[in-house]
Amino acid sequence: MTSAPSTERSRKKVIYSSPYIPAEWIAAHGLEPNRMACLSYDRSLFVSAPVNVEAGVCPYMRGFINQASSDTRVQAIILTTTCDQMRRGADLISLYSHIPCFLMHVPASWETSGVNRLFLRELERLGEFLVSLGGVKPQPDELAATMRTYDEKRKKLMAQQGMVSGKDFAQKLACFAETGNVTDGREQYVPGEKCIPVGFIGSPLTGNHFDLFDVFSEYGASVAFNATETGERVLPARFDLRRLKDEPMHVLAESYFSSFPDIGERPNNRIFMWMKDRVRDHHVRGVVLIRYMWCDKWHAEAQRFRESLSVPLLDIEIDGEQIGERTRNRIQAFMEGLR
Amino acid sequence: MDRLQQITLEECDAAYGQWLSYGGQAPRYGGRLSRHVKDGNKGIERLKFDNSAVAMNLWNFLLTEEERLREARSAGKKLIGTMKDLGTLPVMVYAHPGLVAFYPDGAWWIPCLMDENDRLLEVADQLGVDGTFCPVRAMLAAFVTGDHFPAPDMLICSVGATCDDFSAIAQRVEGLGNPILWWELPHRRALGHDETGIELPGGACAAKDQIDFVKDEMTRIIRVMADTVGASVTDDMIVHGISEANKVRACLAELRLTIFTADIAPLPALELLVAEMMAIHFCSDRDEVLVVLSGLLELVQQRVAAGVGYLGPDSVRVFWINPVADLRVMNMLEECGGRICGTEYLFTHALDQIPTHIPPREALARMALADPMAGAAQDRARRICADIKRFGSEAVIISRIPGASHCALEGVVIKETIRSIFDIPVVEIEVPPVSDTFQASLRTRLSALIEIAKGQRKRK
Ligand code: SF4
Ligand code: SF4
Repeated sequence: MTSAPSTERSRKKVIYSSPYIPAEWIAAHGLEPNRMACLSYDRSLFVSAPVNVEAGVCPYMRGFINQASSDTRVQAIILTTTCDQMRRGADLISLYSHIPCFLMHVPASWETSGVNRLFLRELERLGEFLVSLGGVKPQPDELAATMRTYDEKRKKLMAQQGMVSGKDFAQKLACFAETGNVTDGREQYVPGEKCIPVGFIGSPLTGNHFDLFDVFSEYGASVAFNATETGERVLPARFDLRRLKDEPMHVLAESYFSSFPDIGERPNNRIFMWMKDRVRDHHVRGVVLIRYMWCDKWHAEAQRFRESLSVPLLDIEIDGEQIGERTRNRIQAFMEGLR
Repeated sequence: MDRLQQITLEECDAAYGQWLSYGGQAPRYGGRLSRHVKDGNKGIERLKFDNSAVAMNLWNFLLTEEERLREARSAGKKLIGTMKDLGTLPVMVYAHPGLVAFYPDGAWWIPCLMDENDRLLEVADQLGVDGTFCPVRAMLAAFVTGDHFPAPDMLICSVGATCDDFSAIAQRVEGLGNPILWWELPHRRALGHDETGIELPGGACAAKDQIDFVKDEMTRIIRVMADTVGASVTDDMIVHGISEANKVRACLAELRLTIFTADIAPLPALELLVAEMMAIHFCSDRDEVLVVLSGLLELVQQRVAAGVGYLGPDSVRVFWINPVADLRVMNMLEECGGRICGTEYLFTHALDQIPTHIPPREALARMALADPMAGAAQDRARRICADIKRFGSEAVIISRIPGASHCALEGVVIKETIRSIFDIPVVEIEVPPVSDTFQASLRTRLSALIEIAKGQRKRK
């Protein structure tokens, strides 16, 4: 279904959406990692398929597979088993698209050494897949060097947190995920004295959802942290540089598998503790849960967040691309309530 | 040819009384079905039943599970709530004489059986788990109200290649203070180019490293179970447990085959669904379930031999995919002129024989990975197609489960696969736990399916 790729570089684009996929592992194979952030929310389930199913389908998953499978520069798509919707998305891609698709099992449980080994094995399988695409298996020192580069970039990126506005930082993160580039900070951002700090948590932010930062700012908020699935919460822990030379794969697997708290992990109490810490450290006065319609994992926990956090929670359900009038009104009311 | 008629609850009571007066021997859980209405199962008033005493045993057995669990507890047994894997862990749990397994997931059907009198769905709503989730949300409410099953001594739940609804709801159960032992069931992946897979019961293939991984998870569960409830399950015990489970599965396999291949339907769709469900955890009594199912098999065989059954030989042979949350819809199939000739209720792996030629924990690992939900929807569709061919099904009903994270997309894959192979009508319906307001449209859709299938029959 894809037309001929235009350049050597574009032919090697490997698209994924999950934060569990290490960009450096793809890059070390000589391919171009792209954690796609910008989606089209075409209503049909699949651009090339004669089906149109909306009820029960997560718009983010639908948008991701739609865009990934219709982008002519994409060489392969990587999905993870982190939710059932994405697992079924992989079924659809293999049914309707010719783009090679790799489904990686990311264990939901995290407390045993067995699942850590399973994740490592899945990364190795991913490597085999990348080689099948024309990638070259990296030597350990090559992998270590690529990891060092990414680690430095993330360090540079994180240094800008709090120095630029919440929206700018979120866009920098998205840009890094998509291109691997870190843009320099603009002039230092200082939130207005009367701004009320809030924190975001939830599903990935894409495209127009970045406008949410503006809407909150319009009603007097500054976004102190972004714990959505495209925010700083899902960055891997810094690599253990002492071990990098000898066992880069292990270091890579450890950093990506168990270092950030996730709503889908079982048990998932880490994310509740993590949120409590963030709320305290950033002195936020409200938390905003942003989740997609039909996303069970975030939806089911909305009430638990509400009960466990010391500040009010606003639960925003997004169905597609636009931030509707109703959502704006709710944001306004929420912010008024925080004054 | 004698044509049987399904009977109402009232008629069941009368038939039961008559059967007793002719010397029928009721099992200890036997009795008039209407007594379960008094216990709250008001929904059964609206069902129609097979008219035999053995079918009444089946219903009585189903509706007395809670009593059995309480008796088991009083007898000092430990209750293990096995969640989500549908059929695998109970084999291991029942292997130990001091343990009883049950599925809290079974709360799925409570709103239907109790005609929502239990208000479980309302309680789930209040907990923030609304109708965008599958009916298993009733389980969360059941844990809160504590009215439907005794509090288990231990909860074990599979995660990984499972649905989002269950994973999310089970996490809420744990968040309410019910500790869960989570074990990982990896997505049954496609094999690599030069990788040799191991064929699983049911026909799918799994990579050896995945089987080894799940085997290790089984070992871990055994260890934690020993620490938590003090019961050590040995391999010898599991070997025996597998052999007992296989007896139940063999009986069910025979029952299904006899029903699906009979000229005239010897048992209604509803009773067959209930019988199949027994495979999942033996309805909390592994020995008695065999008695119940053997009785049913004997009845069905007698009916086939005598040419007795429901509807006529011209009824349309329907393959049914996914269980329905409102059991009345199974009655509707016969009312519309259809009969069951093939089923896939999400737990076909619980109906397959467990291998006995390999070490027992590996056998269970293979069973877990054979779960139709653990792999690609294409694998599930392939098995369905093989059974459609085997049983000569003339029409397919894909019954979507409202809110279920897998249904919308799986339905697309399954429908496409069936249509690419067979020239038979396929309809997708959605059945909520209490389907009153949808009854008319469901009936119209089922009737249309039957009509189309009959039309195609004439053309062929
Ligand atoms: S938003 Fe939720 S349902 Fe959608 S892809 Fe992400 S985890 Fe899955
Ligand atoms: S019906 Fe589907 S969504 Fe619901 S618990 Fe079962 S497998 Fe999960």
